[in-house]
Amino acid sequence: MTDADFQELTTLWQSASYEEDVAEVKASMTRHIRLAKIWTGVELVLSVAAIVFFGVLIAAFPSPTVLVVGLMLMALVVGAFWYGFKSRFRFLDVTAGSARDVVKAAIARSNAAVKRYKVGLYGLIPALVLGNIFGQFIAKNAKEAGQERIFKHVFSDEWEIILAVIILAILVAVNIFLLRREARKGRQLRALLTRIEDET
Amino acid sequence: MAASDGQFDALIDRYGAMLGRIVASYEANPAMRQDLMQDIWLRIWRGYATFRGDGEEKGFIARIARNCCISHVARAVGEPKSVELDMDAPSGEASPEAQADQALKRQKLEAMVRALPLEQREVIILCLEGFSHADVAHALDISENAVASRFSRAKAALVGKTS
Repeated sequence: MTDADFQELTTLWQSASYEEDVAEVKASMTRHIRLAKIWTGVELVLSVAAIVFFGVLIAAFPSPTVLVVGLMLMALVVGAFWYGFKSRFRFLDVTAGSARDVVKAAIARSNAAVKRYKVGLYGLIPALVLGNIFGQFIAKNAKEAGQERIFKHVFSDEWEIILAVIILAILVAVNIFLLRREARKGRQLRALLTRIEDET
Repeated sequence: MAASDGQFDALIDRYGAMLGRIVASYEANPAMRQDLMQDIWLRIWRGYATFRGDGEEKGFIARIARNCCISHVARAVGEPKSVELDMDAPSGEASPEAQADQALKRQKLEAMVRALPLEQREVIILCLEGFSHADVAHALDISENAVASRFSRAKAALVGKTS
């Protein structure tokens, strides 16, 4: 194939404008971007609400243990928000290198995500213990400070149990779903890497 | 954080067609192509903050598109291929017959490019988009020698299929 022939191919290739696709995508992007902004906003509001909630508990029932455990939970919330923000807005998608490098990097990220979800799943038990310690110390402090009635009002036993079961069930279900999805993605990427290696 | 609305619309206007062609060389199904394009543009919107002007904007966009397309190909591995012919004719002054002929030739070229091995495909796509070998090397972060070798293999494969 001569340079002129390739130039002809280039002209033919570039004659596709995909005008309709571009117009449709442009129209739908406004909605997608709005949703992405709303989602980030919701995440931020929930994280701030959780931090304020823990802050109020620490201030209302001060003790070294409540302070330490409360700060740990606050750090967890901040960390989770920052990680989510970073993974969406800093860019895994600009990985450089050939297709093989990109797939290898994606496999490494997928493996890391699988580990993270496993830690999330197994970490529920220590988180439960931590939450229990936090609750017990708040209860103890409330009793000592004569605020037991306020504490009972905020944390009635039935609500506490129902809420804990619901939250736990959601956390476990979400973690299992994400873990399975990520494991499937990893398998697909490994199959693609094998295909690339077979091609070369 | 992300690209502003005005900035983003301008990006779509400038690179929409290029991105459409890149996506078409990885996905033949028009509906899936649209989804993939939306996904890529959303990632570009989010990732634009990381573009610091080092290197060409066009290369940055092409790289994100290529990486998303590779993820898409990974999802499609093992799934049956569905290919639909896109019969929309290109705009221009040519007669309807000539336009249809041009559209068919273009689709044949896209299909041939789609059949190339991934590492050759990503190089030939950018060359067809008018990137120099140096620009392709920069966009994909591979050596110019690697670009030249993959380009000549891809060209040979295309010759083999067109002849």
